[in-house]
This record gives sequence, structure tokens and C-alpha cells, in this order.
Amino acid sequence: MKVSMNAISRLTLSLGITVCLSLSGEAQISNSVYFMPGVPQANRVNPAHQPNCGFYIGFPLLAPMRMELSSNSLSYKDIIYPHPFQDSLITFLHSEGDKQAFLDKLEPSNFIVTDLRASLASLGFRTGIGFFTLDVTTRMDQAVYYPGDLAKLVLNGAVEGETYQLDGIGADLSAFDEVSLGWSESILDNLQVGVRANMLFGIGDISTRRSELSVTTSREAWNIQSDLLVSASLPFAEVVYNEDGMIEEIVINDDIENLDPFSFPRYMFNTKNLGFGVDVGVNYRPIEQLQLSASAVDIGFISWKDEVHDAAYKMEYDYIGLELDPLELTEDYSFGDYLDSTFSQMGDSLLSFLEFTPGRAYSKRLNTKLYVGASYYVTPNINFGLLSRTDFLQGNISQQFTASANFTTGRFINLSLSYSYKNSYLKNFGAGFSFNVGPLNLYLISDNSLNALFWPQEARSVNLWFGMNLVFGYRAEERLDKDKPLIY
Amino acid sequence: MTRQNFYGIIFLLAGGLMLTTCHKDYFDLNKLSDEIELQLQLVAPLIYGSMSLDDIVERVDSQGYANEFDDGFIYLVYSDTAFSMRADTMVDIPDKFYTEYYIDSDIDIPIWIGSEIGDTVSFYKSELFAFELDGNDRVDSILIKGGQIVIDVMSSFRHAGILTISSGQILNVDRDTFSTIIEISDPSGGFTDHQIFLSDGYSLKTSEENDTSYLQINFKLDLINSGDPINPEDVCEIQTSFLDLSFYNVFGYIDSRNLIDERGSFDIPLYADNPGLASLIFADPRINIFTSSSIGIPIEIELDSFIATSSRDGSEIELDITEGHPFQIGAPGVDQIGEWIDTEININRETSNIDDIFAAAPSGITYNLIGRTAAGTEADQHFILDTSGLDLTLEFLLPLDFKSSGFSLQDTMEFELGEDGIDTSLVKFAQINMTTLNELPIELMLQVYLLDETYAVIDSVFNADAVLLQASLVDTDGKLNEPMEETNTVAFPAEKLGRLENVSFMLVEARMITSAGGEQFVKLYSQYSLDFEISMLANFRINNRESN
Repeated sequence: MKVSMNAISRLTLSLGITVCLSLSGEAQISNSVYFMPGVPQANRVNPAHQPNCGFYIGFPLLAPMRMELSSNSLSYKDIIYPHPFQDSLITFLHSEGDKQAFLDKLEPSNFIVTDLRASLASLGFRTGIGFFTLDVTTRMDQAVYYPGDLAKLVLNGAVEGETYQLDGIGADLSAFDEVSLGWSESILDNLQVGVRANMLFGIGDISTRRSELSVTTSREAWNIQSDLLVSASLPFAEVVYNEDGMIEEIVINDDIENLDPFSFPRYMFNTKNLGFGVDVGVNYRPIEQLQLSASAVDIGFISWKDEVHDAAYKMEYDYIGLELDPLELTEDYSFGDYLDSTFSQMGDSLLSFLEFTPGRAYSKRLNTKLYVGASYYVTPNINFGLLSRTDFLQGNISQQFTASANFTTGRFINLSLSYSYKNSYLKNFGAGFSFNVGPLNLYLISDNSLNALFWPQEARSVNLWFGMNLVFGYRAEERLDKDKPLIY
Repeated sequence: MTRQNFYGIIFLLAGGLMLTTCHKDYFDLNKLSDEIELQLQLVAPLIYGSMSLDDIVERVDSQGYANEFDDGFIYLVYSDTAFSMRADTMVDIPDKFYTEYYIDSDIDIPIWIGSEIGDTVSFYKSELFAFELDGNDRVDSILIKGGQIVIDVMSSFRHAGILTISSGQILNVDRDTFSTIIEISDPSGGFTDHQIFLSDGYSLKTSEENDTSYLQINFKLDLINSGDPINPEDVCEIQTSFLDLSFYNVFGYIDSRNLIDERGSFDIPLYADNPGLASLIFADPRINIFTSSSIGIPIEIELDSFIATSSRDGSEIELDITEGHPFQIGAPGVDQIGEWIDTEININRETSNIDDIFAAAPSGITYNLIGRTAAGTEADQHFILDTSGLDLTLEFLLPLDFKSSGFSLQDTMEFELGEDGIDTSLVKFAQINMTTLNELPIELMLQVYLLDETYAVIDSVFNADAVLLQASLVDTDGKLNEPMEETNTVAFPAEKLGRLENVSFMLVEARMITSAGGEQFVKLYSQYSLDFEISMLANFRINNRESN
């Protein structure tokens, strides 16, 4: 079958947009898992949660594998939609496209976030003093921030008297390893608490630490104000500066370039970029049918110290036109020559504000999340939950609500159907499935999975948890309750 | 499975199928159009600047005709070094020949007869010799430059003797009285002698008697009685000659004489090169004559046949000076010997019809300059040094104090957009805003005509009579009172932009009026400036299909 380049490019565009925009905002962690205690790694969202088993161990890289991609404002159909008169698809940039509708969809501050986490090791076991967990997870968080006014500037141009607030523009790219040790215990019959301590090892980071940028346009002047600071920790590379203080070259370390396996631990568990975090949680059952819970995760920070570099761009610049002395123009020095010379000078002038320096250590806190939930058990196997989730982002607070219906058959199956309100978008339908086949536990959870089925063109986010564990030793009381033989 | 569950599942599957069918409308990317179109507006300041009149004049005035007074008031000047002379040729000293005789009647015979052989008998004579120059010139003194004094003596007395010639009015280089002794050594009666004195540095001081200058020369003849008689035909002849004399200085009275008779001309390119400026009316045009003289004689000069040729029709108009003509120029007095005395003579509208001259917008001037020493009396005391001289410069000075109800300039220039021209599929509309702050007291109306290769007019840039610059407000003296701000907008819709592709030339026509509608004289100062800011508003339409 022949596949034309045009088709490939369209497919690529489609996939890109779908992937980029079908993910939900800052919800790097599925909310559905909160009400699936049968999933061993549910304690990631509430350390007070305990799995029903006595011991579990996850498959490396798959316990869990977590992926997430989200946009807070745009969905697929904001970018691609049917032609109003013809049997074709168009983008918002098409002559028949509605650019204003596209702009209306944008928030003042927009972002695309990707989150990839792979668990290198995950195990838990019950003791007489509680349930202990140990996790080693590699996390890669990326976020690109783009202000709505940037799109306005690109699509509408620079109009008279408009101020384009481009604050927040930038990107954060961070990779680190997390070693967690958790403990939870029922300290009362109806009260369960949990805590997890995390030690963080920074692999590399690029952070937009200050991002203030505005452009005011008018016929009289363009005013540009900027206070940008991007810091980076690049332990795997050497940054070479030239005499002018500009970056001349970035040289990747030989051991990385040669894929020397013995060097990887040094970068994976880099103690120079050390951080600490803590997660806490509590479950409380005031009555048998009702469970109240709360947790706060990712309370902590990483101190980036290794091979830190700063790029600062701070200035206030008034462009009032090119100063011209018409009398300087001659046959040998035309207006074109003048423009070349002046733009060159202006470029140099603007570039002169860019300052690269070997930076000082900086700390970056984790995006802390606060969960508050309530579950009502209609029967021991069926409950309905409500969850409030608050994300404390870098400079933003994001609020989500999730309602879920949860069903469990005990050790074999956990099912959850969820509905979430996220980022002013109402149609977030998710589902989670957890199966236990013998000692093998498999689960697949998403807050948005049904969106992809029913309204893929509207979806703004996709998240997916996939996990594979070996579980042993279900709790005795449950076995007693169910009066079933011990099979593990 | 219950019937209800079955129906429920069927319902869900049917709903899902419907929804999935709807989704296909969004995801059938084979139908995706790749057309991209952006319609942008862009406002931006383009250029700004400031031009002072000083800058403008410096660039425009390649010939250096423009200058300014101390206060910055600008004027144009067209000058000509009309005449330059040195005075060493002004006075000619003719050779002088003075002859004196001793004859028998000059001999006191009784004394001579009473003398013994070998006795010396002296005979004295003193003569006044006229020392005259040309005409009625009178010389009081001369410091001689070059030349010689020659004395020739011939004696037929048959006696030896000594002849002494002296004059208290002739001083040698040492400022001693001139005196020379000639020994008559030959008593045979055939004695002759010839003596030359180089006279450079000698001084002659004459005495005056009956309006004539004289040199008194004294003679003393000592004869040594040889025993021979003195015969009636015996004589001693003394000839004193002043030859080839010139002077370092001459004091006295120099009678009136012509010194200058010089014809000249100069162009006035202001009009010759810019016929459109012929309507300018200048408030204070001037002809200035500058002299510098170190000749100790008053001199007068006369402008004769000062004729201007009109740039309009070639007609001629003659300058009529009504006051002070001929002009007297200053001379150093006896207490200012060696100094140069400057004199400035102004010919303006009060003293002449020069405004008529300028009203004719002259492209050139011809003139005849006559100069002479001023007539005086013989009682006047003059002097001339050999270094004395007279320099004279004539200038046509045009202070930029003028008015005009409309003068225009135009120029045709090439205009090429290149092969691609302006892509009107890209630029749909452009608007240029120009804001000016004008200190110049000149209103500028500008029109730019777009011409094709046959010079036919295709379009014009501005609407008719667009005022680009408003003239500043001036006070009653024509000086800046308040600058004027003006904003102009020029719109270029797509159809006008499209026409630019066929433009080969631009005809720029500028019409200018001075402040107050050209009714008031205005002055231009070098510090006046014109500030301008040009900004743009443009609507772009970018479509990838049309661009391809």
C-alpha cells in the first residue's frame, strides 16, 4: 500500500494533536485509582491506603507504568473540525476556520504537560506494626507553558494599543529518581494513617524560574518588558562559554555518549541534586458505610546543584522606530543598507540583554497535591466516592472533582467508573480495571478512557496507569469474612 | 444475563456505534485541507528622526554658498575677489639730473689774486633742486629702495683742489648727512671723476617752497693755487643724478589718480538651478563690498554697469545706487603706518534698487569696478609703503528672510520595485502615518506622481493638496514663535499597491508657502529643526495556497 507524504504528515499531525490535547491538565495522577484499594499502588495517592494482600512485588518498569499528557485548554476539535460547507476537514488556520473561537478557548495561561513514570522497583509487605512499602520510581515531568496572548499575537497580529501579557511563557523539564519508603497502620479501629518518605535524586532539569514578559504595541512604540530566568542542571554535559559569555558548545559527557552502563548509577542517583519529600494520608470511618479520607502527596523539593547554568533575559525596551537621518542616505548608502545596518544593531542590542552564567544552586518544589475524599459503601463490594483534588502548581492552583462508582469482587476484580470535572471540562469519563489471576495482579486505569471512545475530539487529556504485580497473602479477616480457603 | 441487562448492553453498543460514526467526521485525515490563511494586522513605529536646518544646509550646499550669522540666521553669499593691488607701482619716481657749475664769475678774484702759490682758496655754493613726481604729487620724504646716486665731475681749472658735495636733506643708510669729497688731482685742466653711490636705504627729505619740493645740495670747492691764472672759459661742472629710484615709503601728497578699472561677473545658482524659486521675495538682499587698505591715501570706488540678468526671461536690470556712491574706503593715517584698514560698504534696499534686482531672480551679475584715490588738497598728508596694498571683495548676500505665496520644486526619480513588485495577495492594505513637528516657517505640500515607463501618470500617492508640513508660527520679526505639529495618513489599499508594479518613475512635486499664507517675511535659523515620526498599520493576508 502506498502511503503518501501528505497522508503521513496528516497522520503525524493528528496523532500529535490527539496525544497533546487529549490529556488533562495537571492531573498527572489518575483520580480513579483513589477509590481502588485493590490496586497495590493505590497508596501512591493516599499513603494510608493498604492493599488487601500481605505482600506484593511489582514487575520492574511495570508496577506501575504511568503516562499522562494533557492540555488545560485545547482539545482536538478546537484545532481540526469539519469544513462548514464541504466534505472535508480543516484546521482553525484554514480560511474558513474560526480563529476567534480558537482564541476564545485559550486561557490566559495554557500548558501542555507530559508525565512519564516508570517504577524500577515496587514492593509492599505487612508486618505486625503496619504495612510497609518500598518504591523506586523514575519520573520525567515536562511542561510547556504558553500564554493565550501569544496565540493572539500570532493570529491577529500586533494591533493598536494592545498589551500582550506573555507572563508564564516557558518550559519545565525535569527528570529524577524517587526512592520511597512508606508505612501505614490502623491506629484505631476506624482510623488508618500512612506516611511515605521520599528521597529524590535529580537527573537533570530545566526550569523556568521567572517568566515575566509583556509586549505593548502601538503605532508610537512597542514596549517590551522581560524578566526571564531559566535555570538548568545538566550533570551529563559540559557547557562551554565563549569570551562574550555566550554558550559556545554543550558537550555531552563521554560516558553518556558511549552508553557506559557503569556510569548510569552516578547520574541516576546523583547525590548532588538531592531532594526530599513526604506523602501523608488518613482514612477514617465514622460509620461502617462511610469512609472519609485525605492525603497530601509530593510535599517536598529538589535542590539542584550539579552543573547549574542560568540564562537570564531582563530588560525593558522601547522600540520607537528606527532612527533615520535622511541626509545620510546617498547613492552609495541606500535605505536598504541603512535598514540592514540598523536591524543588525537592534538585534545585537536585544541579544545583549541575554546573559548566560554558570548558575547558583536552586531549589524546586514538587507540585503538591491535596486529596479529600468520601466513599459511601452501599454494600461491602459497591461504593460511591467523591473526591476533591487540589494541585498546587508552580504559580497556579488547579481544582478537580471526581465522582466514582466502585465495585469489587474481593480479591479477583476491582472495577471503577469515574466522572471528573477538570479544567472547566465536564465530559471526563474514566474507568479502572484490576484483575487478580492467581498471584498475578494486572490493572489498567484511566480518568479519560471513555472520552477517547465517545468524545475523542473533545478530550483534553489522557492518562493511563498500567501495572503488573505479584500479590500474596490476602488479609485473614477478609478470608474469614468470606469464609474462603487460603489459596495463596 | 437478564433481559434488562441484555437490552442495556445493546443500547450502550448502539450508542457507542453512533458516537464512533460521528467521530469519523473528525478523524478522517485524508480529508484534511492543508490550507492555512492568516489575516494579521500589524502596527509599528517605522522610523523617526530630526533634521536641523543646519544639517540640511550642510548637505544641500555643496558649493558652500550658505553661511550663518552669530545667532544662527542663515544667509547665502555669492562672492568674488574683485580686485587686489600692491602700491609699489602706484608712484613712479622719475630719474633726476642736477647740474652745478663753478665758473670764473664764481671765483672771488681779489681773494684768489691775493693768495700765494700753494694757498688753498675755498668757494661755496648751495643750490635748491626741484624734486617733483608726476602731476601734482608732492614728496616730503622718500626712503629709497634701490637705485643709485651718480656724481660726475669735470674741472678745467688748472689747479688741484678738493670738491666737497653734501646735503642735509640726503641721509645715508646710517642716517648721516650725505657728504662726499672729490680730490681734483689733475691741475692740468682736464680733470674728470665719476662716483656712484648705491642709494638703497637712503632718505630724501625735501623742503617746500612755492608748492614745489626741493632738495638743497651744498658744494665747496677748494682750489690750491698753482700759479696759473683762472681763465674765463675755465669751469668745474658737477652733475648729480638720481637714477632708478623706487621707494620703501613715500610721504607727501599724492594727487588723485585711477587705480582700478576691473570687470567681473558671478553666477547666482540659487535661481539658475531652481527656477521654481523665482517667486521668493527677499526682505533684505545686500551687496557688500569689503576693502582692506594699507595705502595712506583715501580711495573711492564706484560700481559702474552693475547689471543683473533675470533667470526668468534673460532681461537685464541695472543697479541704481542712490546714496553714498562713489564709496569712500578707509585709509591708514600717519599714525597707522603699516596697518590695514578694513571698510565694509553695504548696498541694500534703502540705498539702491537692489530689491528690484532680486525681484528679477537674477541668474548672473556683471559689473565694472572703478577705483581711484580720492581728490584732496595739497595740504593733505599721504604716504605709501612699497608693501601697501588694496584688496577688494564683492559679495552678493542674501539673508534667508523671505516670503513666498508658493514656490515649487520638482524632481523625477527612478522607482523600481523589482521583478516581484508588491505581493498584493499578502498585503491587503497599508496605511502610513507621519507626524511632524515643524519649526521651519514653511508649509510643505507634497505630491508624488507615479509614472509608467512612458512617463504617463498612473496614480498619485497623496490626495490632492495634501499638507505634509504645517508652517510654524512666527512673530512680527519673522522668528519662530511656535512649532506646528501635523499628522498625515496615507492609505494604500490593495488596488493602489498593485499599481506600483507598473511604476518606473516617481515625480515628486513639492509646493511650499511661507508662514501666514506667504504674507509675512520669515527668517530661517540654523537651529530650526524638523522632527518626524513615521508609523504604519498594515493588514496582511497570508495564504499558503495563493503564495505557492
